[in-house]
Amino acid sequence: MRQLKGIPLNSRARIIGKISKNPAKTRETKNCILATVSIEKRLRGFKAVLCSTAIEEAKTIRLKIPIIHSVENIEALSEGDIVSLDMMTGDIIVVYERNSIHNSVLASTDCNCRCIMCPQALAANSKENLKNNIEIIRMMDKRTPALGITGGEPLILGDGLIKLLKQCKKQLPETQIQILTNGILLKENDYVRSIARLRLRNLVFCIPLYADTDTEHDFIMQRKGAFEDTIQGLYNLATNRQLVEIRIVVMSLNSKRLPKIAEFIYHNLPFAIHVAFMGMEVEGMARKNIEKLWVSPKAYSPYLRDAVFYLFQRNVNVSIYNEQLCLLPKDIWNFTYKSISEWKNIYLEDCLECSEKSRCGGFFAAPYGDHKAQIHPL
Amino acid sequence: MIKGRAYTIFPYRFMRLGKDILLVNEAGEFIFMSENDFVKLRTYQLDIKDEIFLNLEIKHIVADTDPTLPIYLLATKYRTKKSFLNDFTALHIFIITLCCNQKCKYCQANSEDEARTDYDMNTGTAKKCVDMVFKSPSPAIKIEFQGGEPFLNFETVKFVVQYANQLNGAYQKNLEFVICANLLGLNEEMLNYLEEHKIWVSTSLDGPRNLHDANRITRKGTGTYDIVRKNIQLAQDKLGNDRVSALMVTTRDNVDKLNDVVDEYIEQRFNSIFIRTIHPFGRAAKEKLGYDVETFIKNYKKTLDYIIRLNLDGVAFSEQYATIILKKILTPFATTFVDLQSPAGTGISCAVYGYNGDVFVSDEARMLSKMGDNRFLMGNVHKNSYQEIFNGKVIRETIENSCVETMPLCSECAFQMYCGADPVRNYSVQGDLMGHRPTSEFHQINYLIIRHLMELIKQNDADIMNVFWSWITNRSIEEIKRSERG
Repeated sequence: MRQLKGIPLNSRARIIGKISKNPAKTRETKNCILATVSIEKRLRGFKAVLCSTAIEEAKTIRLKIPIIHSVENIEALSEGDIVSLDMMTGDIIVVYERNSIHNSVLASTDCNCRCIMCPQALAANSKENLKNNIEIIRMMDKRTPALGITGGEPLILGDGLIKLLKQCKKQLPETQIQILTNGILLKENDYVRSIARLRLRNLVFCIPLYADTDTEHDFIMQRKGAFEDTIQGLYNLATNRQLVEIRIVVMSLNSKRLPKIAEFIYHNLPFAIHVAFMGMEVEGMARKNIEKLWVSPKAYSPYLRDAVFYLFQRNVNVSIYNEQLCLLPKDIWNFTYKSISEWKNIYLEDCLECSEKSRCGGFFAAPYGDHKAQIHPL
Repeated sequence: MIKGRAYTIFPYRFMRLGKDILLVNEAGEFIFMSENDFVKLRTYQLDIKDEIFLNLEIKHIVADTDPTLPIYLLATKYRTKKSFLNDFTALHIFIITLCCNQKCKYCQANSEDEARTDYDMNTGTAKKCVDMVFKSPSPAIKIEFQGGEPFLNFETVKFVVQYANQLNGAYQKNLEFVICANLLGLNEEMLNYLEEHKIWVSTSLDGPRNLHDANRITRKGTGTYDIVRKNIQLAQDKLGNDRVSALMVTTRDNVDKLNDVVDEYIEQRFNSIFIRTIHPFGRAAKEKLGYDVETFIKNYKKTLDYIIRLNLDGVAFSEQYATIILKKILTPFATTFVDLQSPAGTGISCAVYGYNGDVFVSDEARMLSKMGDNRFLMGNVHKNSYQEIFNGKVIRETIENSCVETMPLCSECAFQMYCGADPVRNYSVQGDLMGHRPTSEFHQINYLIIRHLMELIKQNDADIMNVFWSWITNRSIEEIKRSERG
């Protein structure tokens, strides 16, 4: 997530609020955090104030309101963005960007699997987290086009996730909600039914399938029985008429079987509304295991091509995420999609002179060395 | 798993196809393998890390771990393939009149003179038939008007449409109407009515003038091509191309000129053809219009190839029988074609209501009745209840004897999941519901068509497969190839 920094004053707490750029605005200021250039005298009702100029402590002592001053790049904040302020350190974390199509809520920092290419840093969940997330959703713009619910594994929240989804239904009735889950806990049909009962119209479960056989999938997820549980979960979703997207992260262990994974999906999961093949994000465990996991997109693109065409020919909605155009055969460019969140998305020096840069998804912040070496401008 | 063995083998059916072996699992998914690998498979000598083993594993032919999941997946897929059984009878055919203004040489219905009115379905009978239709639990109901020529008794057609729509106000089923007619007497008023009530039109066209008029003639013996052609255009202009379709019958006259028939269909703005074999019922049997299986298959293959080439040249046009079988082979979904399923569609997917209220298991069944054999008469709407008709001895016997899973030769055939049974035809030709496969033309033709399509699939030519998928998914070949342009 995008992050800014300044110097905190008047509080040591954690504060969540919605950015307002209009100091005169009085309506709905209770949850609002003012972002401004310099602090003016009257500032009633705001939850906190952020300003770009430095201010002297003495002058503001009479203003009891929490303040972070000397904030660099404050113009990056937009009206309606939601920020989390750490008043101990002065960190300003942008948890929601009103103008982005890539917003998400980190519902759980913990997981029931330890996948060998997991890019996330995992930690035990705190009760505060759920409360904060519900508060964040409550502040979101009703016109938000899409929201991801991510983790860790969101389903380990159990009833907590139901509460979160209820808030989504209330605040974001039109928003496309995507839950990113490994699907293991969906093997309990009662749980799936209780989610289905919420009747969220635009809810999609995005579930990874790393292999076409249990042995390989279980190995990648580092959990025996994961394949069986996830497939059962997918079938429970289908019987409860929930929407499903299948995601396949491509790595050395499954790259040659991509066409067979596509075949498995078409024959066993024909109810999936979308299938996405995804380049690996080299972070966390993936970075640690990179020697074992790495295969260059150029090397696997023939298999990727076969898999994509297999599904497209069968009228299955299929996409490619997180790949760079210069490493893919041109005839599958139409399936690529700029899927990397803006704040993570970068381009290399070589990319600046590329004629296809505007169509290309670019990179996560950190391309792997071998990967970087193959990138070339078109 | 048996001790000392690395894997379990699941049930499959197999067949030699060229140099390779075709294996088909219980849900109709298939795989080709070399004879050498096949021997290894059966003798438990495959390495569970080999690619061929993994490919067999995702077809659930082998398992090296707990078999619970593959059995569950197979069961789900089998249910999906058989899901045509879920809703019971959806297609209801009304014989609006036995009279016809044509006297086609191959007529199966043995039609009566158009001047007569005693073979018309009256509104009293029609009402009882519609009442019976709505007793079916199926959420989708299709009422098909047949004859004779249903336009000769158009008042009853209109009554059925009005009354069925009225009943449907309460039932809220997905209700559709189709009229199967030669269109000879089509007029403006009829067309307006068809448009207003969104009725689909299915007519007959056997090819260009010389081929069409060879068999499709009026009672006076004159050709019908010109008027049919004119009226097809009128109907297409009024109702839209997709609302009008045509059927053809392959006879001795056009069997070696099927490409000409295809050209005629394209010229008349149809985007598909159903190459149908002649049924040995009614007049067709007497007039000797048939041909041997070999002649038909040779020409069918030739014309299928011709149609594939047309598609590759940019003409979106499909052969419907091949499309149905390809769907069965290549997709995990069920097809709704009542003439090729197991158990047969007789009564459970389709029912035929005669002009006098007799209810039959199929169209051929009522033709048998016209010839004096009531073997497949389930009952009469005036005399019997829904339970008596649709849960009686006739429907039960017919269904029990039409499961290819239990029929001699079919039970072990690799094509079992792609095929079906026709107990009425077996009875009429061979005197027995189950029939005798080695001498059955129905069997031979289906076996050879499925085998031909399977061989084309095995060739895996990219162009041909694109054409097949364009038929299955109802898209143009352009649309399938568009993505490749980057």
